[in-house]
Amino acid sequence: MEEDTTMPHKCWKFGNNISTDEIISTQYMTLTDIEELGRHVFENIRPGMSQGIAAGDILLVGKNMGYGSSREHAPLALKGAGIGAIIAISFARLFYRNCVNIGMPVIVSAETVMSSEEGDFLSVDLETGMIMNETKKLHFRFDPFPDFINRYLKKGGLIQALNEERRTVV
Amino acid sequence: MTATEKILARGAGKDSVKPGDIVEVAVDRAMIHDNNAALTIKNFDMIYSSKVWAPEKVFFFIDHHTPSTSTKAVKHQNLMRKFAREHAIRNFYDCGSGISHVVMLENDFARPGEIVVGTDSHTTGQGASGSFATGIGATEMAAVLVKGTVWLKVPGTIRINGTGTLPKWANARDLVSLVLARFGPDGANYRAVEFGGEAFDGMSQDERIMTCVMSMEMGAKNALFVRDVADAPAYESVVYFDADSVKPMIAVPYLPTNAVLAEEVAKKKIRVDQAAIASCAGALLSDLEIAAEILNGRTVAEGTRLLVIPATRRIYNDALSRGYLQVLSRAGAIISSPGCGACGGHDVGILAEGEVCISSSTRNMPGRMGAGGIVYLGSSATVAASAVTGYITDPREVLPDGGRHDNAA
Repeated sequence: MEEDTTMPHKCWKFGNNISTDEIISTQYMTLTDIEELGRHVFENIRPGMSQGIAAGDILLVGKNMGYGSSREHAPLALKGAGIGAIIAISFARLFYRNCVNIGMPVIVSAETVMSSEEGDFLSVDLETGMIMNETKKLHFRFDPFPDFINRYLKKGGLIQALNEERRTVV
Repeated sequence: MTATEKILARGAGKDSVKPGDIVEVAVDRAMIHDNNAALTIKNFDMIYSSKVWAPEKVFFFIDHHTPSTSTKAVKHQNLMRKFAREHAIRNFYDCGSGISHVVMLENDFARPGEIVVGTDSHTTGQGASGSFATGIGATEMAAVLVKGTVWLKVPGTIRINGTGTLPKWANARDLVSLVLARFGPDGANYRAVEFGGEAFDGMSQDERIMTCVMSMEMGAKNALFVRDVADAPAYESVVYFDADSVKPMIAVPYLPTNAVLAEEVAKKKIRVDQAAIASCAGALLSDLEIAAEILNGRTVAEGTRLLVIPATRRIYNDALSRGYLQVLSRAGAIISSPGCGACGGHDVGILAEGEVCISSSTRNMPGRMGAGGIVYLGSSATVAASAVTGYITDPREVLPDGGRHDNAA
């Protein structure tokens, strides 16, 4: 069900310190269905945005993306809205972990963020650590993930990776 | 090694660790609250032949929607109750018990040297006892419940030294606001922070809890109070703050690290629709005490509503027996049941668009207390003073002695 990030997808651009309160408001904490969560993503700061997201679209964000709470509802809402990868100058610790754990690719690349604009089409090769801005004909490299994170991303998340271990152990 | 590194080395069963190492540590306490329990349980149920690794190490709290605020909220709470019964989790803190972090500390459930994980970013607050305490998400918690371990990257440590002593009408929250302003919202991201020096060593347990909770707002992975300094090279950096010159501070919208002098904000005569004494950082017994001191014999300004949400039942009861709640209620405050309350706008105190709240809670990002609500953060003294005047106020303006404490002299 994960989107193929190697295909070009439109990107959406945000600034610094985008908090989990802005990604998904506290009033939706009682939702657990990711598509329902997705309908309310960024409602506080960009009402209506979720309807415009196509599956696989990419978020470009400034510094400290996902600042604030531990709510996994934030990356889940992004996933539910169709976001296929997040590229940021930097990530807040908890948000980064939560993304990895639900299988959402999170990439640190200041260059990509600085050189790309909203609406550009980007493709990301997670294996080789390469980002292409197809609109501007630019490419960028990023550090590959540690093995265990790669495994989470490939399997679709921590639970799926854990289940694979448990299947082999049992 | 720094204090944090020593705890993580022990947790990982190693002689030593260094910043950047990725270690798998044994979890001593796992805390889950009602905002993230449903997702945690959903993920737990997806894990093959899942069993709770050690029910006595698991703590359930209903503190975000307390008492329940909607049919969805109560459904999740019932899911928690059922899960706890099925998995013999006896540490169950139901509606009205209070905010997880503070209850954990009150009951000595986060002991020095232990490793505590919680499904809440402000779990850093539990470091006030000397534990390594950090927040994790729901999926990760599901894995912890099964495995009893978690992977952590050993953080570098920032040592924060406070010299001198706080003047009478500035308080610890004001000093911490200065620290947050210095570091900004990501200045301690991925780092351990360690507080020490005269100004921090002398802090009460309430002040330590507030400090460790608010450390999260500069990105800290965990926070500790450590009297003895490690050898200098162990630290990533060492910074100093002078407590003698601290004045009341207010974090203006929309970041908790946007702290400026309260006297400057006060000049703007900002009308307050709501004042809130709330959260694990701002509704401890000492917060209620200072609010009662300021509101004694006064009334809340017309057009302003004052909410007081004691952090825990124990604090509520202590404030009741000491007469604080009576003073506050007589002044016109609304006393609400213990819990996170207005801090996240989950249950009480949701703002309308354009409304202004001054709050002793933890965060003021857009939408934090309701879509379009505007939140300023200050000490409980600043909140109480603003409730009296109806405007965002420097607490020195309303003090019994006229607040003449000129530190510049």
